Amino acid sequence: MVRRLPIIILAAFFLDGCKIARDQVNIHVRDIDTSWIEPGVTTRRQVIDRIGMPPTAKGLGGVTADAFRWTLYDKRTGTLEAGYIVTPTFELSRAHFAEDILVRFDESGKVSLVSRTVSDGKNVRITEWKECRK
Amino acid sequence: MAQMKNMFCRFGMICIVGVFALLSGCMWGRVKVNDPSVVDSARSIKPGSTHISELENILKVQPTFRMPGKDMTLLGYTYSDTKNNGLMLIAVNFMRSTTVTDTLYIEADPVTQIVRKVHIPPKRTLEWRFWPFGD
Amino acid sequence: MMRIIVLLFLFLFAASGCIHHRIGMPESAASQNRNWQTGVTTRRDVVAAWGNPHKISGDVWMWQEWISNGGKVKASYYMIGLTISNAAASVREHRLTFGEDGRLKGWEISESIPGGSKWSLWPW
Repeated sequence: MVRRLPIIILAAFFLDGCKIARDQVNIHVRDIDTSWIEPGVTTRRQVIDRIGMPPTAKGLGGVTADAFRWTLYDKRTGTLEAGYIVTPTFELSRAHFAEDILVRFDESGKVSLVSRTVSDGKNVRITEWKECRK
Repeated sequence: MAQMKNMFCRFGMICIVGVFALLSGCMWGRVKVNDPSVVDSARSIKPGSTHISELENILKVQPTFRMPGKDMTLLGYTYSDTKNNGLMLIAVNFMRSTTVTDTLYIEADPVTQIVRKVHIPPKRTLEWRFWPFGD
Repeated sequence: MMRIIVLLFLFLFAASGCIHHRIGMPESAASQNRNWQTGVTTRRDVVAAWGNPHKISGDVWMWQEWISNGGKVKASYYMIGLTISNAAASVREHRLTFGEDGRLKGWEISESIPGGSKWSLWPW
């Protein structure tokens, strides 16, 4: 037992204060269907009537003069507070847009671009790209 | 009789201690930003007759943002709801936070400033989730 | 073994905590702009690597990386304790200009803090 004591102390230092956290904002963005949108044909009014307008929150998408953006924000955090009496915090977090839908409109109010991407934090993949060139 | 009473007391104490022991690592938290009941107040707005200046009386709040444009003036009222759930074990803590943000949009004519349309977002339900892994 | 414990204790104090937060495109993706070529790279190519742009202004598409570095240390003994923490955040913005044909015309990178924010524990 005495020989194992330092290992137990070490383990207590490192395991106590281990935290794994996940933050997700707007998971429902995954369920939005944009397959019916046709650039050059579909109008902003039709997008609003069928999908609605995206929520506007700083850094998380929203409405601008010529675009709508819906985002699913995903953040993973790992924290370790290791120590006794003096406890430094080691923390690493990564946040990304797990799902990102961008719909752009031209001056006439018709859709000019639909761009939809998914990301796992390391790689990005386009799941939909429809463009109407001028 | 006294023995049965003793047994029930002991059983009751074990249950109470057991419940506290099971719940002792649990964490629930809620954060709300702005008031989602602005959506309920917005149902009394009459498109075609309500003026923008009357909105503060009806909704009791100022808009989060205002976007003037050539074909419409757009006002937005943003609110959010967050549920934080965690399991705090001795060695490690697991936590998950789920948030929904929504915006009530009000479209008005850029010249007359009369409300044209009110876009009410659907009601969304949030789950309590503590496990940080998976979708 | 006890010597290791003591050294570890000193190391923990000296390490002073280490906090790193990142929002935006992955670090590996951010370095891929070395492959961009004017007149060749399209908007779709960039979106396939970096995701949708965070801001669009006309033909200028912008992608941002938000990075925060800092430290935190708590010292407590019975009823006496103190916490020291510090965080410094910076934004790196990649601005890409595309022509009417959807191809890259030029790009620039700007940083709100040249070289990015530095790790530092001390708030004073």
